[in-house]
Amino acid sequence: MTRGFYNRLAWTGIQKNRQLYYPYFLSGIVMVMVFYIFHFLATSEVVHNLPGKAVLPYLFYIGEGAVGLFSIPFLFYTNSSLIRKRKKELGLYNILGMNKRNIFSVLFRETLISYGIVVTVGIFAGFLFSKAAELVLVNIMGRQAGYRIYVDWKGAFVVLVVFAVIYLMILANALWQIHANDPIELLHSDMQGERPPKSRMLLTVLSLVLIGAGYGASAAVTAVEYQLAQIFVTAVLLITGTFLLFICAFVVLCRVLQKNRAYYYQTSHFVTISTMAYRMKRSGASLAAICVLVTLVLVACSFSVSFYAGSMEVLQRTYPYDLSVRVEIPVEKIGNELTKGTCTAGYRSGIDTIIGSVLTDSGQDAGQGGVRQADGCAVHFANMLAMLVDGRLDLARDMRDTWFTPGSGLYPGWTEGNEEIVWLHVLSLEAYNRLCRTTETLGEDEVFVILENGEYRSDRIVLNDSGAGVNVNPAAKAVPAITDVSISLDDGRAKDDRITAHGCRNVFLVVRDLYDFMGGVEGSAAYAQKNYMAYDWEYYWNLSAPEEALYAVYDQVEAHIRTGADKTACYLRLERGENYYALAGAVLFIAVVMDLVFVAVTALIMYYKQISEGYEDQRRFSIMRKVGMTGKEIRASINSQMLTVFALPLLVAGVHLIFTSNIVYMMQKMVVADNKPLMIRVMVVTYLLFAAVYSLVYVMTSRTYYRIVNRASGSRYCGGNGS
Amino acid sequence: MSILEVRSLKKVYTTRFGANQVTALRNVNFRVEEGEYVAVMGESGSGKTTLLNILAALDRPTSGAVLLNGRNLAEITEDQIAQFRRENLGFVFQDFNLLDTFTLEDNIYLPLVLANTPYTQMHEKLLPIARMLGIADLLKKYPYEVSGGQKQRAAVARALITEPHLILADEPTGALDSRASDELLRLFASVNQMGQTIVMVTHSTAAASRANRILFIKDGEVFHQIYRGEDSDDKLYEKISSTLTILMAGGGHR
Repeated sequence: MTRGFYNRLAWTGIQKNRQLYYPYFLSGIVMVMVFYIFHFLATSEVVHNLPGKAVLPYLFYIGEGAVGLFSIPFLFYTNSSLIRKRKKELGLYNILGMNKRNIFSVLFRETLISYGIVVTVGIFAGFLFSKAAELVLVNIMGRQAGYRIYVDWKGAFVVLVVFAVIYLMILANALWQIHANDPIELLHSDMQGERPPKSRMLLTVLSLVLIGAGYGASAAVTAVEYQLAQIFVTAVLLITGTFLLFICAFVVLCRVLQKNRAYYYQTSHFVTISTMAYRMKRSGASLAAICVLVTLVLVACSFSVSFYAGSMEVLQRTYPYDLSVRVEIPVEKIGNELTKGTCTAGYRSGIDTIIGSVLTDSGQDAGQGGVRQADGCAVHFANMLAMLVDGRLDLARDMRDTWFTPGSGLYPGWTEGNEEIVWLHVLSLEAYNRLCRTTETLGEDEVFVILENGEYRSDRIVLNDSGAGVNVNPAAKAVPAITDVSISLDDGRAKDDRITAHGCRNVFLVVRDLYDFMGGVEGSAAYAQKNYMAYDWEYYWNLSAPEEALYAVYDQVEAHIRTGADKTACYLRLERGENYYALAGAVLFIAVVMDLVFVAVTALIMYYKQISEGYEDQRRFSIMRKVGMTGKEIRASINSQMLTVFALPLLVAGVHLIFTSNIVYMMQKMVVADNKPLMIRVMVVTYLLFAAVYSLVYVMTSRTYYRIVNRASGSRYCGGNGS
Repeated sequence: MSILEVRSLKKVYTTRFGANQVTALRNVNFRVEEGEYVAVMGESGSGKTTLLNILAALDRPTSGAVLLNGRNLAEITEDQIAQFRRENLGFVFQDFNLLDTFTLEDNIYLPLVLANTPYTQMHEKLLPIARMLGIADLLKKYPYEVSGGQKQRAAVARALITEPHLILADEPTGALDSRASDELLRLFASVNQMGQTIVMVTHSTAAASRANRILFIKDGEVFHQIYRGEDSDDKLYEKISSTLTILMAGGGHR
């Protein structure tokens, strides 16, 4: 009988507090759903057949983990606002003769019911939406998907376990909160007089300093991949600063305004300012949390959208030709190779034959998927690291003696003082003219120097320690840039150690004769030692053909070049692009889903905030009414307060976004392309879109608030002794 | 002319679904003259609070009229009523109804600020009142920092500062200990001596015995009234007690 009684008590507890419980359920359901969907996608066969199969499942597992981790503070927050509101009720149970153990058992049942509802509905919703999510994902990548619908039982099991743990932790937290209080305290927990918020000047200054430092750190980021620590510090500075700002600075502002009598003692300011100080003290942490979440959403959204939108450009830049083959030429063989092509003639004829055969095939079967047009070009490069000193190229510097250390993984950047390390590509004028379809000429001891993102300012380059060098042809400023060159650009190399040359500027050096310039075999060997130089033969093809034909060519070419003993590499843009799109698509997809979750979280925090504010203000506004405030004045005051409170996070987030945009820009530059206008456009659109969603959420949740406040300050008189 | 006139006041509450009707006030008639100190007594549920709400224009009667300074409250529009209340009425409540977000000083200023009074003028008005009520030193404190009696005196100051025609007090001693109650009642008496009209709802015989006239309400009607005449507080106390005894015993049957 008692068992049934507790069950009933737990159930009515939920029913009576549905205003608080339903959003709590909803947030749990959303979390479970997203968790399940990510798990589903990580293991989905369809995803495993997508082009990005190598990375996609990992991204989804990461997303799944993030959602799981994020659910903990989020559900904790919602649950504790719930418990706080229910303390009075639980205190009453206690006074009516239920001991703590009985209350625990009621709470346990409530948690069990919550868990049951959340998990059941969440998995069901996840099951319904997982297919939709899969279709959206496949669509983003421009692929076809089957329509098989199935339940991911393993995923459901994982959800059950993970969320059981989370809810157990929540229960423990709730019990701890109840345990710490005695019944009378519980009964009056919502009536305790509140101390006036202190004006904490020092912390306010600190908050501004922290935020300023965060902005400064963000502006100083130049290469994302080498400054992860700095980005982390930026985030910590900004988050701490934001929390302090919301908790202290706005209280200080209210206090300062209160000191100004002429301003403070005005009908429209009087109530608003004094209540605002309390409101900011109470809500500071929640508002800061909203602000941080909003910033996160905006940054993630801006980045992922510009990533996706810029992926076309980056593909074109990284892989300018449909098919590229690279063969590394050993230094001692370079002389014969350059004059007679001894190393690469075999590869070349083989590749020509393959492409030719596909051409022939298609000739017989015109319009049916053969190569219709082919355009090939072979170039020799000497690729090496070199130093720009005060903007002048210095090939005499021994790179082993500089601050550069290959193979150490991450570099703090490629610039130090007046020195900049660049990734230098030396090629002959003849090759340059073939690549760029130009007819440039060079005089004796003259070169062209072409810098990526910049202009070569010096008129010389230095070749040896005595300072001797060659002149730069004045026409160098006007010659076409080699934008469409070389698959090797983004894969710098230092001897056998592969290094990532991300962020390292590409410099092209066009010389009259490559072999002479490099000083023959002897000179080349020296460069190989001190500049980590390597010779590459690169063979590019533009093939206008359908996908299958391109893949066929690629497979054959790859098999062919692997027959030799040299180090070779082969890329098909199509194949690279698919991976790239897959990555961009998946990042966009995950970012959008996460953003939806964050928006849901923000909405929920707002909702609970409105409810608790409503109850706090109920009494206050009924007093004001009695003292002679008109309904209109009360509404105006409420409006301005609520609006300020909820607009603040959005505004601060906007400022954060502006000042941290450098990081987004650098991230974009690293993975996509240097396209600031695109990023700014994306940011503005994202912000406006988010502001619209945010306002909508605000309007919807504020209704609850007005309902609660009006219950008291309506026409009914709410004196202390309603006899 | 009477400052307050209540004519055949009736108030019927309808429960939410209209199933039950509760008559709170049946037929109430009385007048309050300028400078009077009237106590309204009655048991819980006799309709005292309903009466006070209607006098305060916080609630509207089902029928009948309330005239304040000859003006019918029913004729004042919803927009003007707050302003009317601010200008003509002062309130003292059982639970003080001070805003915990304001210092006592700001709490007292509240009605004046709502009326757009400049700070210097408010400050000038506050000083004599605060001195008289003995809270001049407490003005910068917050409600949670002071005792119940001090809070109630701040509430009285808030009621007085607008120089209202009428002060309505709803069980003003209800939440105070006997010493604080005595002090407050003494204050009321001296404020009344200075010409302030007061209507106080109470069920404390001690509180009522300080008034000039006591109205007894039972079952929604004025059942009886006692004038002080030349009686001392103690004498009046006895009279009230015996009246209450009769009232309780259900004597009279009207």
